[in-house]
Amino acid sequence: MVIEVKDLVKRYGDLIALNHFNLTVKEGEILGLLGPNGSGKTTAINCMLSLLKYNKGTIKIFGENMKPTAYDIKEKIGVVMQDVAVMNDLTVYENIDYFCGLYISDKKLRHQYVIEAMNFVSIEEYAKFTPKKLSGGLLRRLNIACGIAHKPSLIFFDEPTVAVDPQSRNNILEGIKKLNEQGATIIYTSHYMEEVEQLCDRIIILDNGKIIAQGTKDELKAMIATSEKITFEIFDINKEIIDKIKLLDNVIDVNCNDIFLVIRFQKAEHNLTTIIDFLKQEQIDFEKIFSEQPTLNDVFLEITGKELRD
Amino acid sequence: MLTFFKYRFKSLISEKSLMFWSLLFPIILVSFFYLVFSNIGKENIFDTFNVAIVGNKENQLIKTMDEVKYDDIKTFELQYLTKEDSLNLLNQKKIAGIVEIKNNDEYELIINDNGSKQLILEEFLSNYQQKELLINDVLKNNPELLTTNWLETLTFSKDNVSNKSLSEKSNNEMIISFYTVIALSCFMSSFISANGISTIQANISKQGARLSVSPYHKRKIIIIDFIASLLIIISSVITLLIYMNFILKIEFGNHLGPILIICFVGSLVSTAFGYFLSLLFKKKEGLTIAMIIAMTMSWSFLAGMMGPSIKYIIESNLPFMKYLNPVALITDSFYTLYYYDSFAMCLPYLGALIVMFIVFITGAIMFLRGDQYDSI
Repeated sequence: MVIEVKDLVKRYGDLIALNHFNLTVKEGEILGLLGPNGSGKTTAINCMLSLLKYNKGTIKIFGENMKPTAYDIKEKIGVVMQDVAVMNDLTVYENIDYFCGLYISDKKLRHQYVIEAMNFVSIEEYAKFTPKKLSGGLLRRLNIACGIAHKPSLIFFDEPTVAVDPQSRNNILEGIKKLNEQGATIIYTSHYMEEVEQLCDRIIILDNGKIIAQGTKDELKAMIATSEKITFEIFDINKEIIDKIKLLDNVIDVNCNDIFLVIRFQKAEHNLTTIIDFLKQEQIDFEKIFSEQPTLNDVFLEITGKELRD
Repeated sequence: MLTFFKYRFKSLISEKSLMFWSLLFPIILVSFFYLVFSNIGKENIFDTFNVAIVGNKENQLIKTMDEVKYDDIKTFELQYLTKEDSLNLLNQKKIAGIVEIKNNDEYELIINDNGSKQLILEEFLSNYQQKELLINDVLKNNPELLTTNWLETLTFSKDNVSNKSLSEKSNNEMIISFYTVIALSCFMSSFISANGISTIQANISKQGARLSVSPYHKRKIIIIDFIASLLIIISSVITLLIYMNFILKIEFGNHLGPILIICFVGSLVSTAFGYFLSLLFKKKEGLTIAMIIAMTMSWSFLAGMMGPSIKYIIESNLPFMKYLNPVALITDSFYTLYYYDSFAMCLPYLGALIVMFIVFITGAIMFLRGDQYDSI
């Protein structure tokens, strides 16, 4: 195992930030920590990195106890912080060289690594720019380059795509996949379920410092009753009809927001046919129909009763 | 290690606001003082003041005023007039002031302006009064002290009229103000060390968190940062000294070694002071900045930057206070070195500064001790 966390408890006064948190990460895996803001994702990472004191539990990385002076372990770790953590008065090249220099003392090798890191996140043409002159997306890319330039075998990405435009976000996600293909084990935290679904081999869902579910995305979806979500674009529907829909076979719940009627079904055959027949019979006109598989948000919703982005 | 030092140094020196406070602000301040003092000097050298005397011209004060000379030029041109005529001339600004001798030999100074001539006249009379009281006191209680040598030390021809050029030693007020600005420069530079330590502490900045998760030893990081900050602070102070000596032609005597030692010790205390405040207030950066400015300006004021009278008051009434004021200690070190040509006499002040350094750095180490934090 690359990481083994057992029974970790972290309190901030009366608030329990991590409540008997357990985690194992295998070599070469991309593990996603998914949860809303304040669920304990960053606290978990900071404890694993030995930045934060914790009240109870053990943390082993590469088979050894993790502590602030575990310099041999730290050499193999890369961290991409949630907030951009660069030096404002150094150029892009100097920033990467500065942070890479904490790991790699050989000047020639470091120069090569810095160039590779800039190429990896596609910021080589901004090498002489200071961070003040970079856009938000470029800053994020610089932040990543500073965390990965020394070619770590374990990388923590703490919400690296917050406030990033869609194009930069895709670049970042593709980069992370590439790093994994090159052999790095990755811990990825986010409150964007689409990213976690797209990227991670295994997912841990956190809420209020507690693990509420874990597994692959398919395993997680199989845990919940919802197997299908059908959405209709409807302009005129009354409460009586909605109540009748709720009584149909396999219907879990019905929501009507503005012009969208959303019906969640249990796993069964012909759910779509059943509901279309019913609407025709009640002479309800509809425009478009969408049928979706459950998302991680549905998993979170069904387990906690609230939306992931609440 | 060298790479890390190079980037720490570059990062600290590139902060424009820090460099303003630690380098530019003291240069502006000292230039301002220079302009003010040099104007006073010019006026005094070339002008003799017209002063009206009303009342008994046989009074000892009037005789003394009549004898005061600088470079064989009389300082005061006395005109014996009635009060009415004197007031007329004063209103026409033809005289600097009126000294009225009362019946009981007490005197009163009348001025209606606040220029340098009036200031010198006031200073002269104030000094005369102090020395007159002193002589009367000695006459009454210790008449055996009234030797010629002792009386010579009380003459008014040398130090009491501040009209010498900037390169001469007698201009106490000016020299104290200049020395205080050097000490102020040391402590304004605390911004540099405060900023430095904040970017290496995980519980203060994100950059600090990145350093903390690296395999680079924390002790090494702190030592390198301390050296980088200290070097910048010393460089700022030396730049100020060079500017004062070579551009403004302010003399510091022939004591390069001791001057550098005083600057080094002052910079050490300043670096530790910046560390201490930054670690004390953690993320409250504004409070750290406000405290550095407030404390440095207060210390400088109490050390005599705006005029030595406050310094004399403190030394007369609360002499121990000087040992709690690092700016006063640096100022006094320079002053002692310059006036008494003795580095040995500076040692108590430097000793007190080193004690301060130990206090600040011990406080900072207490905050720096932990490698892990309760929250970040």
